[in-house]
Amino acid sequence: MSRLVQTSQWLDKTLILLWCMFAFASTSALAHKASDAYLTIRADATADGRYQGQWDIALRDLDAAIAIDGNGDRKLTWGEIRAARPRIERYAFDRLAITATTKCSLTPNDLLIERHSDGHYAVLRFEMSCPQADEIKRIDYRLMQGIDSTHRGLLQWIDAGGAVQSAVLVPGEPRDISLLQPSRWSQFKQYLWDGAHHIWIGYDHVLFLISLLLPAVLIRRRLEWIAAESGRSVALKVAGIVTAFTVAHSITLTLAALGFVQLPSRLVESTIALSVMLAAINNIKPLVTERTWAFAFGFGLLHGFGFAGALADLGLPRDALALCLLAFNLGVEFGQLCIVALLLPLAFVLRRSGFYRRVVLVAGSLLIALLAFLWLIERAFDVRILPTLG
Amino acid sequence: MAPLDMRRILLLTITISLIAVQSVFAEPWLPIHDDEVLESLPIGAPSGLALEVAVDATLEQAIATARARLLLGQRYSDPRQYGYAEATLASWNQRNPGDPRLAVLNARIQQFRHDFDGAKERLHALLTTNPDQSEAWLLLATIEQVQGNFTPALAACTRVAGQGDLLTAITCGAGVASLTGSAQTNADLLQRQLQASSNNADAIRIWAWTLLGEMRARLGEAVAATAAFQEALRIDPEDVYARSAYADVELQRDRPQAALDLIGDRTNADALLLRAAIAARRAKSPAAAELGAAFGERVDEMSRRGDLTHRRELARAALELDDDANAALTLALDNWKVQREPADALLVLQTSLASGQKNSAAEVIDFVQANKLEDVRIAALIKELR
Repeated sequence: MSRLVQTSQWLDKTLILLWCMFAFASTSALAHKASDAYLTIRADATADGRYQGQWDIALRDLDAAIAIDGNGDRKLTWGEIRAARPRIERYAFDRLAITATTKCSLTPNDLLIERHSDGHYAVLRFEMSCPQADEIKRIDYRLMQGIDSTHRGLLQWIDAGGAVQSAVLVPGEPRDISLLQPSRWSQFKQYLWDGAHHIWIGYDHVLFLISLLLPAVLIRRRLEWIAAESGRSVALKVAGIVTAFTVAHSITLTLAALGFVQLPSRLVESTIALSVMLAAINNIKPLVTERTWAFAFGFGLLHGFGFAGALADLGLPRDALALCLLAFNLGVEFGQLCIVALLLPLAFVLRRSGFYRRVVLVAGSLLIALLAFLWLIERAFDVRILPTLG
Repeated sequence: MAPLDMRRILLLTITISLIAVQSVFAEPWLPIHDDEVLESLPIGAPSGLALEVAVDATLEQAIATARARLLLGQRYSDPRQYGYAEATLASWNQRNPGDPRLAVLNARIQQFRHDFDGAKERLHALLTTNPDQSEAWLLLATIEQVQGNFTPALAACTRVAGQGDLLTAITCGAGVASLTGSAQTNADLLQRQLQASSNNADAIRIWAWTLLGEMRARLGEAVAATAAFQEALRIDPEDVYARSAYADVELQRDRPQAALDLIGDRTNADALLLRAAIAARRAKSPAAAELGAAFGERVDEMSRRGDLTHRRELARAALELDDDANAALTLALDNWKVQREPADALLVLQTSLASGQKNSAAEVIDFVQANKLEDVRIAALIKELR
């Protein structure tokens, strides 16, 4: 009993501490840093001369320049920023010119918000298109010119091979950026990384894998989970699940990336959410306990279409299609193995404890199922429930 | 397992997920509600400058605007205000190259960026043709003092005394003289003068009280020091320099919680954020990790633009937040090349002691002895280093 009391006291303390952290991290403090804007331009690997840009400009700077505090109460609301959007875009894009032999066109698309260490920033996303793929581009940056002499534009130019060039742009002092053709190796590395990155930020895939792996260290006997005795049998089971998942999604990823099979992305994304939900529910009310690998294979086919969607967003260079597809796929596998390597030893050590079986497996799966259910609703009906997700 | 525990565990899991979601999704997002407040703008910051091209139609107006912005910059320790001031002056500088007021304002901006030699050069050029500029002499005295050149600093203060008001002149002189062997006399002199004069400008009185607080702290008179800082903050609670000097005294008295309470949520300025992070760490406050991370994030973003004016803060952060005495020593020695105030000397001594590289402090010890610099903390450290 006393142990139980101790545990709950510990839990209470942890909870309070975590909520403090959460609350603190949520507040936005207006810090006193000199004015910077963050300009990122990423070359589109599939099409020469096309780029995706992102420009983070401090809301404070935008107000200093063009007065976006509509009601003058010294508080900037999202409504005021939205209302000022045309003026913000005009002000910013009038002050950025990127020229090769001729001037590149800049087309704004999304307006979002991001937090930096000194407050909130407007995120201006844009498409850039340069008629000639010259190796030297001149950047004429003039944001905040004549307003704040200390303003700097921190440029990151990412070429098609993933190589990053950084520069500190001084308003009114044009600068040349010379660009190199990406090497095959740097392209390979880039797609490898993108694949791994997609797994790590593709929470649905991670949660699906976790849902399948959580019970792998246990055995189902007469409506109850018991700890698996041998490490060998666990390893075999995990290897089976991971291989089946890998083979299945590699097949569909390749088919989709090469354009042989096309599925509507809303259907794919909704079914992926459903697969996560089913895999999690299966841990609470087990239906499939043997041959989990077959389950992994079936849904793996589906997840492959999801990866293909992500790869389509990145684009595949026409001249190195097979290489980049292979690299992306290997990256996905690598990302997946990292998760297995992280999760499995922990699960194996904990597998005999009631904590693992009740809390980690049951409560964890419950939470995953709930999240996946919300995803399913969001994706199937195209609504937003989880504010910051996606 | 008791049902009560199940509830707690669920709550804990949800909390952890929320934190995970928040940190993982540190990506741009689309706010949902129009009335969501995303930023509070500082009082006095300009608004809509690109719209009003001819804001400052005359030189007089431009100078007044720049002065107001430098005051705000000083008060909140806000670099943007210096940038606004400089941009305001830019076109006037070319048209009025000989205007002494412009020269002083530009030198103040240079001083803020730690371009001490550039500022001095500008002031010397001005003072050879216009020797009756007391504001320029005062600025020159301040810069010479920061660089540890006490003889020229004192000489500049005597020029202030010949022209400016009494409190300004005494604060200037006492501030320098207290660093060269007569700390007690000068602190008492300044205290008497402050109590006798009450009609000086707020900025001057805040400066004088803060300087007095620092003198008292060097003499080991912590109670008198805090009283002086409280006087400064009574005139303007927003003054960042006074508050951070006050927080330093609380930290030296080993009262981290008092330092934390003093700073409260005023962590906007880097100087105060750093002290809050150090205090929270020493007080073992739950906010310690977050404050430390916030300071680290700010340093990262500043270093991306190549901003190196914060060497003193960086050295202190390396020593007190990262426990990296070797890195702290390197930064402290770099900082010593630029700034030679007691706080800078203290940092070199602390870091060379902490890193076990006692010889690194030799130059600072020579400096302290040559100038007869009195400071109880510095004296104690030198004793320990021997």
